[in-house]
Amino acid sequence: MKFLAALLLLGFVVGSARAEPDHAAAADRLLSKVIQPGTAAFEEATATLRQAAAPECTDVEPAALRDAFHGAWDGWMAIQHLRFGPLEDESRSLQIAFWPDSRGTVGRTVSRILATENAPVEDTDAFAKLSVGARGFPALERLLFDDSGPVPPDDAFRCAYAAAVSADLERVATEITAAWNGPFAMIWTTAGEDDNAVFLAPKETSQRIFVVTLGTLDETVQHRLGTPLGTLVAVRPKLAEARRSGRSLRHISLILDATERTLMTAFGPALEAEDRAVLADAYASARRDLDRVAELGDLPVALAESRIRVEVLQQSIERIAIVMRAEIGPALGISKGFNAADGD
Amino acid sequence: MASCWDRRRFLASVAGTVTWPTHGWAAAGAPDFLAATRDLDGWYRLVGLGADGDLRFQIDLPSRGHAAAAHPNRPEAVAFARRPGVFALVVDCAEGRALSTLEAPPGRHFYGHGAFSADGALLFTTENAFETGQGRLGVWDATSGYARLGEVASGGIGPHDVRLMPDGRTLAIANGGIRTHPRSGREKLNLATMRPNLSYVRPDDGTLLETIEPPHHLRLNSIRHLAVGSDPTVAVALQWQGDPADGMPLLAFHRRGDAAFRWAEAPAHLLAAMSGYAGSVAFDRSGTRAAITSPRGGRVMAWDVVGGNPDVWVRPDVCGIVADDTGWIATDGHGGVISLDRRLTATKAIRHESAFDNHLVSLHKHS
Repeated sequence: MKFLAALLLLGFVVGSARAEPDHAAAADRLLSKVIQPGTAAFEEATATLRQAAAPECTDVEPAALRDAFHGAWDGWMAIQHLRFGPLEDESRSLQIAFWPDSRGTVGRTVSRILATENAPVEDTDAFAKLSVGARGFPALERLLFDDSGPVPPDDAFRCAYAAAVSADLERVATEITAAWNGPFAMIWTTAGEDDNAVFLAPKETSQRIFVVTLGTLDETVQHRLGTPLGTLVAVRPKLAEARRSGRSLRHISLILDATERTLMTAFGPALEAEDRAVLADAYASARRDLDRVAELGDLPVALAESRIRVEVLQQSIERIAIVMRAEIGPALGISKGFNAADGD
Repeated sequence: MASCWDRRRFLASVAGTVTWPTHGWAAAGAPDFLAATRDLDGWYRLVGLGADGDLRFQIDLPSRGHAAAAHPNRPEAVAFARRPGVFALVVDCAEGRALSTLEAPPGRHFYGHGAFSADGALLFTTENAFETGQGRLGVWDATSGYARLGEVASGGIGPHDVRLMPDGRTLAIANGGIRTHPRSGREKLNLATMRPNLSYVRPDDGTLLETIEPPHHLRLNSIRHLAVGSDPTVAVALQWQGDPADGMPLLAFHRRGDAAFRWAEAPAHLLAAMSGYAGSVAFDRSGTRAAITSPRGGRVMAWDVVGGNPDVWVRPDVCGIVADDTGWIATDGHGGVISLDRRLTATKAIRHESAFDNHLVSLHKHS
């Protein structure tokens, strides 16, 4: 009898622990602790970049410009996974970084523009209408680096083009912060209310956080690591993201930081200690495996030195995604969706 | 042999004036469209919804549904299982009960779509003759318990969707081009050689009237779903079997007699955001603008019938779409029913607690 009572009690406790999380609170926390500060920092970093790429090109300091370039791209990597609303409208995330670029569009486009010097680099509005392959960080990287390393932007057109890309990045960053501090913040914090046609229930904001975070982890496994890994007989180190500026592994590191921060900020308080610990463990081991790769050099070099270490890193990031799907999603009562998962 | 079913019975059924002793779809709550759902407890249902998204009827299904064919004048729907299903359930939507079951003949399975003849006397179903891989169109007698009358060739491999053209005599068939065999589930067996097409078939004698293929560089674009607009123009929704990042067009238009498809173009990055996958397609009521959904990309895109003027609307897991008075209604896997205007601005949204599966079926003619 005592045993039965204990069982019933246990059932009650387990049952109540899975109560509906406070989705509105999760959305508020993410907005004030991650999204608004993150987008503001990104905007500031792009302003610094624009200043460093002074349009007259008379006093560009190459090292300072490269520092500002790294700073701004770092700022983007802290928020790029939040691909909905302001980052998705007007294809802003693709305007900032057209990736994955499976057909080599950016390289082709930038080479063509440099060869013909035919792009409205002095006209902000016209420049903003160029294809996404001509703009954004991947294009700027091509202007500041080549296969052998940094390229000083001493050629007048190249310099003016770099300045135009930098100013264009600041423009898009400003649009993003404006939306996240105005109309979209309102939409984000009124999920489920009658006139909200974007988030039809409070849980839809949690759903969106979950799906975009998972999406960036999947993308890292599949493209950031999977594409350069290629196959045993066809390794493709030159397809590593941002390899010219030596940022391939840095991006993965920044993604681990950004996604963990996002998950813990939004969902941490609603998760049981055990779920939090499983997630934290998965991140800790991915970081250890990343360090083991990084000690060999950036991704292309590391691939040549030790393919197995890169594969281990890939698996450990995949494990974070598995923990999310198997533990975190069910604990929060959310999943990726119904139709997206299969095809017909 | 173009035809292997009894044409005389078809002619007889068409000639005989059939009066139904029923009250039409009003008896099922006068729904505007049908959808398959999965509720929170994992039960699958066929539901009827009003134009404002409200529930008009619901009926349990034995397993996950894909699409349904709605009888033109009886409150009766044929709900298909997902491919490679071998059954389809005929449901009386007014009484909420199953009337009969269609079983695919030996060596055949359904692909998940079907269409009624204009008078509702015949049902046509897309099928796979899986030992040879040839696409078939099953013909069923909807006047007497859905006996199988026979079948005709679909004009290609992997027929998925089928629509009756406004002439009432011609069927448009989306031959996806991808061969599968139930032994290997949904595995694609012929990507290296696939050749999708849109075929126009006269079902009474199986005549293949016209067939059109994508150009060679779009050979991997599987034609899956159809809608018929004004003129009449057929819209085909496609699924790209290459790299989703290629940003290939996923919607094309065709009119009988045109030598080529007209492709719905947009900047490559917008198309790439559709993840190479269109799930459903619908014209608006004017029949001059068509929308496709991508649950994988979480987006709807719409174009004019000439293939220009694209718009985008974002909604995770969106898949079902049909025309309504002001544009379209879209449904998604999170329970949303959203009204969109012709430029894809959301004008109204409600949310059910169940997930909507792939398709919405309109109960209005020509939409």
